[in-house]
Amino acid sequence: MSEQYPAHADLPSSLQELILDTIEHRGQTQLSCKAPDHRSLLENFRHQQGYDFLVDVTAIDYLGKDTLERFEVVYVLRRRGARPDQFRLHVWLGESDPTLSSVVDLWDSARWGERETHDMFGIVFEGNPDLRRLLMPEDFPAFPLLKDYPLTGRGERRQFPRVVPRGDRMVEEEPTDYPTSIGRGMHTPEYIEEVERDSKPRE
Amino acid sequence: MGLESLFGGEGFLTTTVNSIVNWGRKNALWPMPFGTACCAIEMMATFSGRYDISRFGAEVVRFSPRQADLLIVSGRICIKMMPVLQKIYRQMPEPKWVISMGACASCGGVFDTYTMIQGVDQFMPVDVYVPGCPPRPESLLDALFEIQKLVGEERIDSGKHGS
Repeated sequence: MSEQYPAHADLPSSLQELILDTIEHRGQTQLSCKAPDHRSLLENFRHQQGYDFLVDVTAIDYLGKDTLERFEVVYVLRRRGARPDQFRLHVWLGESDPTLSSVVDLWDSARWGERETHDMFGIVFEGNPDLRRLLMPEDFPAFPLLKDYPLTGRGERRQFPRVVPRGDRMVEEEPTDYPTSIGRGMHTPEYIEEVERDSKPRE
Repeated sequence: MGLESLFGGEGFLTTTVNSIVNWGRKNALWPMPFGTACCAIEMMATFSGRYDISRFGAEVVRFSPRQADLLIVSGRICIKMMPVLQKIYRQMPEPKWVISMGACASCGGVFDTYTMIQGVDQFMPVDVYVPGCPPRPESLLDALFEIQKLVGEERIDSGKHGS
């Protein structure tokens, strides 16, 4: 499909210049650009070229890799009809200010894609009307798909009170043998020890 | 004609209140299924005809915790689900028992990750653990027998957990 109707062939030359790189791999097209430029490109793809379906919004964390910026936000666009096509736009995004303008006004399906990307990577989409957490609990303090977040977390999975029997009834008790609850005791020595223990693979 | 012909008329039995209450309880456990993953499929198989948990009196599956006395936690429990599970457990009337079914509910299984509770027994009482990934229905039936043994040891004058 993309060989027949290349994704960016119809871009005006002013927008062509914004595209840093084009990769064709196994019939899939990948364009990349820098962060503030994605908006004008996506507007053109939506309104001038008829890409009426935003398949997905996601991100990649290149921590420790020799790349232009730390994050890449990926938009997967699809066009149906007489000139069907699908391609990806990768947007480089810096670590110091991980903020992008939202594309909810262009595609409604960006709502949850941006919410999920915010939930997992902490990237802020300005203009998204409902940028709450999607998968994680609302008070979760971290962004778990960042590469510097340990697989076993930072003790969040131990935050719960215990339900214990006392006489003929069950009561909730705050555990005393480890620090609990998000937002409390996060910087105590016990907590740091907990993180180190949780970050190691189990024997 | 069966046993009743031997008693004749209005017969009587001698027993203790404790024995007969426990006998009634352990042969009529009402499970509350808390199925979140593949273990729930095996649990459903246990409830259905081939394995037929009703042979042992525990077929009245209650989907309201207020009507159940046996909680079967079958499947992965994530940190978003744990408060729900605790709430459901606390809604069950006493006396109540808990089966932690399968590796995930008992210790997190292979999911040693930031979202997964590494064993529900960290945060609520568990009476019987069922090993397996997922356990076969026979294992769950065996756990039911273990629960029945525990029920048989109860003292009705002191409550399940002592007073």
